Amino acid sequence: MSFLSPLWILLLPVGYLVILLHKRHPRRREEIVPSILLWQRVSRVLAEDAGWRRLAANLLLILQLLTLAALMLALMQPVFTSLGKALRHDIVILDTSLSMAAADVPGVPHRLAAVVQKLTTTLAGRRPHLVTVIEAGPLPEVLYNGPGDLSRLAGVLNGVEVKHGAPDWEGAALLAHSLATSQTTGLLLATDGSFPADELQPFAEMFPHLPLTPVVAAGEGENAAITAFSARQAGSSLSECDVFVRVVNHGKSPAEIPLVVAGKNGVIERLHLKLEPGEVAQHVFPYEFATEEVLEARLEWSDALPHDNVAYLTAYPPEPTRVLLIGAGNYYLEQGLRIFPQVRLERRLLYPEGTSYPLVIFDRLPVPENFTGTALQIVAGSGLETVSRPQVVRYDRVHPVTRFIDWSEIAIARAFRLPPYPGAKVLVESEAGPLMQLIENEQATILQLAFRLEDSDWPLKVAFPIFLSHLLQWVHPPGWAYVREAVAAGEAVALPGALKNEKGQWTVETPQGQKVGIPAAAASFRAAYSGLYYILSGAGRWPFAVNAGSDREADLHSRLVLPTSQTGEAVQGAAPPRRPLWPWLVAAAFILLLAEGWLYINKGRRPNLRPTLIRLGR
Amino acid sequence: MPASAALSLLDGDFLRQLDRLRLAPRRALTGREIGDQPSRRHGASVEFADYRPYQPGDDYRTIDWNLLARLDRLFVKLFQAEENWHLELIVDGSESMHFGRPAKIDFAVRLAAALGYIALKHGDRAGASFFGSHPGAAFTPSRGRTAWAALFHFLAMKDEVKGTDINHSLTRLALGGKGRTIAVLISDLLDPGGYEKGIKALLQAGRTLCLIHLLSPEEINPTLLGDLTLIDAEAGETLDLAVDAHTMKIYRETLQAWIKEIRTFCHKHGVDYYSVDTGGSLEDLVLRSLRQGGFLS
Repeated sequence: MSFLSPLWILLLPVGYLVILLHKRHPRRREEIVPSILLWQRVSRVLAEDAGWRRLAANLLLILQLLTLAALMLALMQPVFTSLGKALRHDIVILDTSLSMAAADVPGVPHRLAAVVQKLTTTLAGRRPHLVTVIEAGPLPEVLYNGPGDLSRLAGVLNGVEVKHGAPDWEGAALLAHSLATSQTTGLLLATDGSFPADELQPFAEMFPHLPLTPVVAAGEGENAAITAFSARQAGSSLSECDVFVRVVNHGKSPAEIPLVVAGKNGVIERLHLKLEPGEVAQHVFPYEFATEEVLEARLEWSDALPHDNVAYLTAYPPEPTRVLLIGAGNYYLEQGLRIFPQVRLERRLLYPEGTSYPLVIFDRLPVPENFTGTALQIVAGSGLETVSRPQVVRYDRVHPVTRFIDWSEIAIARAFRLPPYPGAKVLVESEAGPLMQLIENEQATILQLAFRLEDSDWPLKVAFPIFLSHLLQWVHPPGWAYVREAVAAGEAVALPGALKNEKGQWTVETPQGQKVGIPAAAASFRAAYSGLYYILSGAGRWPFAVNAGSDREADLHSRLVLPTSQTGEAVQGAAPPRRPLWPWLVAAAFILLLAEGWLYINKGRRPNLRPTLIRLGR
Repeated sequence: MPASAALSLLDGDFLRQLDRLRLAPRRALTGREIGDQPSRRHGASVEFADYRPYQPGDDYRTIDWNLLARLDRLFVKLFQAEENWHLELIVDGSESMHFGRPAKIDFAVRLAAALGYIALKHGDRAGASFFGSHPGAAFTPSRGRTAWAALFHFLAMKDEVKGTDINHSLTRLALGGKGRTIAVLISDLLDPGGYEKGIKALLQAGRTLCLIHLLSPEEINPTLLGDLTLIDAEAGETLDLAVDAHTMKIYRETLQAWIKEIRTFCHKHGVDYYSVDTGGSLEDLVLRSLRQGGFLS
């Protein structure tokens, strides 16, 4: 126990003052009695238990001193530091990023296995009562939250797999913060330390009094990686591209690394890259993609981390995107859609039933009840309530249609209040209601816009063509680009609405051949492992690639640096939680005061004497 | 003695009730003068007591000739000798007896007057004296039915004697006595020096003793509370005491033990003992308690 304001102990002399005041003899009342003979005998009897009598007589003084002591201690703000028998809770942050797959630790298949061994030993020594294990991979998640049973923990830890992306430290720190309690006494970081020095800052911000205790296991393995593999349209045709490959050598010695790029018709490029330690090689070559082609870049090379020795690039020919505009004409829309050469815009006054378009735009017109497909509806009409100058307060930053646009910068002079629809997903919201909402059912997907384009400055901003680009990619990806850029593990892949299966969902086939159902509300997919994935639909298999290689993960050297505010106590372990005791002391003082008052009142009350029991007579 | 003085002590109705009573101490005495009280000595009164066989030397006049005629044996009649008794009323006149409402001395004087009246009314001798630290004024033992007025006059003066020394006073009174007497000691016995030696002295001097122990209601149930300085009404001594419920409980236990101690002493030495609450009725004491106790009949 310690005191936050120990100077209040200077109140101690007040206790002596109380004693002096109490010991000042009060003026006794004089009473004449026929004889003090019997009273002297009484006095002698009382003297026999004088100790107890003195205590009882001084009970008021004792209570006053106890009250004073309680108040003085409360002012000194004592805090109880729970150690020893207190419940101990350790939070383990387990790094499962790509570098943990490096096979450079003797005796174990990879770094993760070595870290798990070391972590198990550490936990056996700490013997926490509760343990929380959080996986810090591309997609952080809680692996275990329960008693510190070492056998159960070992089972959980041994079942963890390395993911093929960079760790999301901030997400892991948020999870840890949400699960931390006052009993949390340890924050352990199990890692290989091969990440930039400043990435652990979220832990320092969220746990200023709970330093990280590193549990590190790393090897000295060498690694070369393909850190970029992409293509860009270079000719008049969408299929004529420049292909770009970047290779880095993170080994300790110069190496001649063979790079092979192969396509549908076999090897396209074969290079021998002579790279010094830390050197980066970039190679660009022209290539005209064939229909539905997957390019594979591979380092024919053996190193500690084989996952980043291969990368993919997917390409398939674009299809014209037919867009039907229903209405009297919309200048801004028509001008905006004209930017995209693959768009084939048609305009009609009425919706022709039985037709199929990837996108139908209803400009200030209602959507027919029997409509099937994807539509953009600009909701406006005389029967709707209007809202003046609505301000955007929230928008969906993840959805494929609304992401990468700062909606708060768009000025809207007038908007219409969208009619409520059960299950509608609000993508852009103002203080007066939704400005854009997505209605999805088994038959149709309708994106409703609550204002006319001419009532805002949106068409004059770059956000407008970006929105159209997102919308077209989302509703009809085959018409958008020839080459689909690969994503890194953990990044979201937008799932095109046109590729939903008959159940209104997406089906994704993983590199291992597993088929994963993605619900309609998700609209995106995050892969933890690298490789070729396919979106399965009735129209065919649409590939997308998830590549493991990155400059960040390719460097396997441990360079762990704990945040500055946490390095001092990292070795000693976590700072134990403190519990303030002053509320209890104030409560005790209050109770003592009540007891003193009760005693004072009852001491002054005449005792309830029974009639005499003295036996007189013979 | 003016009648008004007598009536200020005892009213007429009470006196008429006293006329029917007489002294009847458990230990009958042998008086020195012929009186109305029965004696253990068989004498020449008209009260038949018993028969016994004739022995040479017996008075012929006591032979029962009728029995001789019937049984042909000689028996002599025995008669109860009638003697007068000497009642000695010893009243504690110390300051402590002036405590209480009514004061214990008032109760003591009226009690003494009643007992003296009973004695004088039956031809016995009655004397009285006050004492404190030493014997005080005394009423010379007198006899005769008219002496009660003088006795009442003496008692009504309530002679106050400073201090308290029961042992010394009673020893002095025992030495000054004139033989076997019924002594009635009326006192609160509140003497730090004790009372035992004085009582033993009276007994050794041949007294038949009756002790009437007076306690005022204020002594039985004191109404004291708080931090007090108790002042002894007689000696002026002081005692600082914090009086609370616990103290009062101890006091009552102490008083009970003290009375028991006195009662035990009296029973051991053949002394009639009566503890009396002076807040009660004198008439009830005399007409009921003393009769039930056998001191009066």
